[in-house]
Amino acid sequence: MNTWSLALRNVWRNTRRTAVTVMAVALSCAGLMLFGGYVSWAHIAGEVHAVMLSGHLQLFKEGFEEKGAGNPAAHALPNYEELRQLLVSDPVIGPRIELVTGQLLVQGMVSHAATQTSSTFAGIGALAGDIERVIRWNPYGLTEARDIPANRHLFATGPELADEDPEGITIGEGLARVLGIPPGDQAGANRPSLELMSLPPAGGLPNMVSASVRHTSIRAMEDLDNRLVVLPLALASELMFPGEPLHVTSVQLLLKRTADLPAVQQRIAELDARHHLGIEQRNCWEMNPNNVRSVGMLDMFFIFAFCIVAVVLVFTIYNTMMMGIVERTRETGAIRAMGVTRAGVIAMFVREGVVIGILGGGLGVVLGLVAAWCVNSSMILYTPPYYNVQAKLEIFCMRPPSIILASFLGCFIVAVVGAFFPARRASRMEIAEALRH
Amino acid sequence: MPSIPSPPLVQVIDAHKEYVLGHRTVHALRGLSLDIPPGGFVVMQGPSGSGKTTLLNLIGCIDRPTSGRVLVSGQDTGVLADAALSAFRARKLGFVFQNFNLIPVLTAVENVEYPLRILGVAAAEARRRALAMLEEVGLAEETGQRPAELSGGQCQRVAIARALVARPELVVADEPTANLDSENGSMIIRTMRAMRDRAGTTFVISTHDPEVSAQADQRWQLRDGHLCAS
Ligand SMILES: Nc1ncnc2c1ncn2[C@@H]1O[C@H](COP(=O)(O)OP(=O)(O)OP(=O)(O)O)[C@@H](O)[C@H]1O
Ligand SMILES: [Mg+2]
Repeated sequence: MNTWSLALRNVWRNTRRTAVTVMAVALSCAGLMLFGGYVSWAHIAGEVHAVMLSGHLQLFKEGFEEKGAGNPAAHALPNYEELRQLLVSDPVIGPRIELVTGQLLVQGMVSHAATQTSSTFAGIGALAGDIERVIRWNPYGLTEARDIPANRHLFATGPELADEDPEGITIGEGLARVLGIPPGDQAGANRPSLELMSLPPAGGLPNMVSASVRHTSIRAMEDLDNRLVVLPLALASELMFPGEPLHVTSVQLLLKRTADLPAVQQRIAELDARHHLGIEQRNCWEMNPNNVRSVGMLDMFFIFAFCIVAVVLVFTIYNTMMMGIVERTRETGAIRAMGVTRAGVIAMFVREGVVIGILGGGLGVVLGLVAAWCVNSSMILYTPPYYNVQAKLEIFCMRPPSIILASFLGCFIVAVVGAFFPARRASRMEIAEALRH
Repeated sequence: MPSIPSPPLVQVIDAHKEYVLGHRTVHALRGLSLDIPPGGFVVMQGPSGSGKTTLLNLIGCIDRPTSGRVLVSGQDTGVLADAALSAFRARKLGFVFQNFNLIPVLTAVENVEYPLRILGVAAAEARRRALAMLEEVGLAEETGQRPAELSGGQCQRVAIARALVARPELVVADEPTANLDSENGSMIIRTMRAMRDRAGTTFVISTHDPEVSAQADQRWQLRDGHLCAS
């Protein structure tokens, strides 16, 4: 007979009571795993979403953040290609980069001759293939919003821009309504043609370019929808800086791994100082602070939930152990008489808490994995706070695997703590009293 | 004829034991002194409430006197801290209880091994000695049974085997036959005597049972916490 098999047998003395207690531990552990897995998913989804909106990092002309909003083109970087080469060929940054691209923000008037309508617009000039690569950056294999049937109407069926279509643009649905353009994909032959007009940043007469609408889209951000124009970078540059090389308001970097962001930012600061580039950096967290905040809130919820679970579990275990200890008072007196020390009595009962913790935690891990699998393989949709498309609820309780370990250990430690206090009480009984019980 | 007097195994010196129950103080022992020689088969008799259990608890080092001293095997038990006293009991003492107090989740042989495991005896050796001990008390067939599967008499024999397996100097038995019928009771007493005769272990037994008293080679009569010799 060894001490652990004794503990196991003692634990199963009252089968029903033990089963209930083990189940309480198991459900707590599974609950923590599921919640932890959800929080983990939210972290990943928040990161992917932030990167999707703005890339990992954008480089602006110094002072852009402070003064650029009213006239972004006036704060454009005139040397996009040079900067691009510098970044791509840099030994620190180059290997960590997935993509370097440029964006030119423009503002102006758009008019639709066919319907005799016009409106102001806010334009994003971008490189056709690169937009898709930023939007679809998904190294974690998340279920993409565009793959969820409920979101289908939010996404254009084809790409917003195309290299072989230098005048093709995509406009927000709100803007399309103003301009009398029906929503959706525009048929090839009679695509609505628009005139875009803007004041050059240096002053002088307005410039004008022609464009034709490929799609209308909902960019999942209502306020932007009424003004949004997505147009080819070359067209935007031509509108603002006719006859000059490509200008951009920001150089956008997409990294292979988000973890490399600090190293890349530091290196860029060094390059800026060395080559007097006159740029400022804003990373995806700075540009999308809500993503950080809402995930931070979930972390707090998780801590809160853990505390509640821990308190309830401590009392459950305490109660179970206390009942067992009271029932075994005389027996405890007898083994004390035989020479078991107080510490030995504590060890005996704590060992039973350990057994309950291991059984419950182990069962909980299994239950949690099964439940996570069920959730992940069914299509549960909800609208996350920072993203107004439907998202599929996913639970990443194995990413990282330490979520499982932490849930197990959390419940295990709580079970042992819950057993310790009754065990200490048992050890403090007077032997003669216990034997008279 | 003169013989070399062997020192007593147990010395109780002016022991008092008081229990405070609310405002009332119960004097369970009132200045009691006695010596028990090694190898004795000693019986404590007395009416209910006379202090037998209290005295046996002091002798068994599981309780301390309010005042006075208890020496066992030359050791003043009053000076030992709890852990040291536990170790002392494990080495020197065995217990037989009125209601057996076997561990219900352990088989007969595991129950008998238990004191050896407390002393740190290796598993195989403990098993061997426990089996031998069970055979000595006539339970060679029942070693794998749990207490619930044994009769009262068998349980008490397991308890005797458990009390003796670590070869203690002293076995304290508080009313060991009170929960048994007379036939089983006298068998238990015969078993204990046989053990005393074979191993020289000292027994201190409390009882109401005249048949048990008849086996004693020393009898003490307790009344209201005093000894009156008999
Ligand atoms: N823990 C205790 N608290 C209060 N009083 C106690 C306690 N233990 C014993 N007593 C009292 O001390 C006296 C002696 O009790 P003790 O149990 O030693 O008697 P006993 O001779 O063993 O009796 P019995 O034959 O009924 O077992 C009794 O009056 C009893 O009520
Ligand atoms: Mg008694």
